[in-house]
Amino acid sequence: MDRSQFNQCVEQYADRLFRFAFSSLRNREQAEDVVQESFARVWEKVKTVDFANAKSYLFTTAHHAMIDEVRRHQQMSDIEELATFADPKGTPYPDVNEVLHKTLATLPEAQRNALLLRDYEGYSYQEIGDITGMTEAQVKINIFRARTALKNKLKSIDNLIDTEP
Amino acid sequence: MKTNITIDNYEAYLLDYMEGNLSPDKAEQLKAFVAAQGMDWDELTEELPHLEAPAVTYQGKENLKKKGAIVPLYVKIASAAAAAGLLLTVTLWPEKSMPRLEPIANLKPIEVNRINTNEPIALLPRRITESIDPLPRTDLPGDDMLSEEHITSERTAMPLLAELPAKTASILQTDMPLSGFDEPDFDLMAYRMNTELAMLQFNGNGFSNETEDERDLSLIGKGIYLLTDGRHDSFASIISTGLNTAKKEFNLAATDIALTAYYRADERFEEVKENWQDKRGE
Repeated sequence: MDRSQFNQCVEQYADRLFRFAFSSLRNREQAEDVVQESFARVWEKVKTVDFANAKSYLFTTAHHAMIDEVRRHQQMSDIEELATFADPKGTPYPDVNEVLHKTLATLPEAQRNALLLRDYEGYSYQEIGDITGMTEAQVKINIFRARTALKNKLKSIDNLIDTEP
Repeated sequence: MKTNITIDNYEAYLLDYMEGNLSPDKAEQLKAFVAAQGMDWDELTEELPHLEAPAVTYQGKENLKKKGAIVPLYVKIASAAAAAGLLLTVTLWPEKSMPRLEPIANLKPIEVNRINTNEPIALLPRRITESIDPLPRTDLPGDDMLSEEHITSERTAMPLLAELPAKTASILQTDMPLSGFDEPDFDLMAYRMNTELAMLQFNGNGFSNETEDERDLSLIGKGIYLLTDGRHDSFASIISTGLNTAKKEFNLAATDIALTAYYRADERFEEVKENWQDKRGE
């Protein structure tokens, strides 16, 4: 692709790439690094990357960069911190989407990334497999488990609310 | 009724079922499997939540955009090589065994578009293995990577030609010219290069193949390995076994490749190696 098309990719996909990275990493600075790194890598290969494939190339690159970030920064402590919500007694009717996204942070990386690519970007299971290196079956299994974990978290909060005096 | 639903994949079938993508027959098999496992069908098929994508704006878009003409990578590399090559030559090149060296700064810039791809070429690896001792020299740094033991141990782990992607295999089976130029700076860089990642570009005739796949080794390394019957597993290995006479055959294309691989290898060597090991089940 040419420079104009590259800049078009920035305009079209930078927000979505950042959203994907931030939702997975839960760290703004690292997510910004991922976005910058991803576009830098695409720029290095700008003459050989087809404009039509740029989006999937970007997300594949971002996925790799995110894995690097996790390994470098070893975010488990951050994830554990995010897993402890505020006491439901303080917020008896928590926003569902907020609960889901906080639970998302506690999921294994493979489940989290597969679910984000499916729900945020609308990729097919095959496409998610291409980006993440999983088979289509593995993608489905991870997404099923991710959704089940989210479902169970919502149920546990509902139960807690139901038992509120 | 034969079924391929197992404890390892039933969740994938459950997802297909809940999305309406399972045939009635398969659905029945799935229900039977779930019942046989003592699981609760109603609980497993409860409605599952979906995430709602938040609206997010990345603030640094303008800084990501590029202005001006695209500068080919090989020009940047050649410029960087000019600056670094002389230092490498002075610090690492064994004085006694090496011929007199020309400063890399005297080189003409690499102009890939001017490569004459119609030049007659030989199948370089065969000539190398016929005329040159395959054992690497022992007086250069990094020899532990190129010992006979290393080459032997890597040999059995390399994929067969039939296992490679078709396009890759077709490239490796052609008389692909391997090239460089007889500059010691290039030799040193190639010698230090880990052949974990490379990019083939023949800009002159428009042929290109990109292999930045973190689960794939360099095309050059594979090609060399396959074409030399496993006696060499890297471009650096060939260089290190004394390729002086073959240098004349080299053209500039693989210089571009080697230098690109060298710079990329530093960035991605560990990642590619780890992923390659995962693929091999180590």
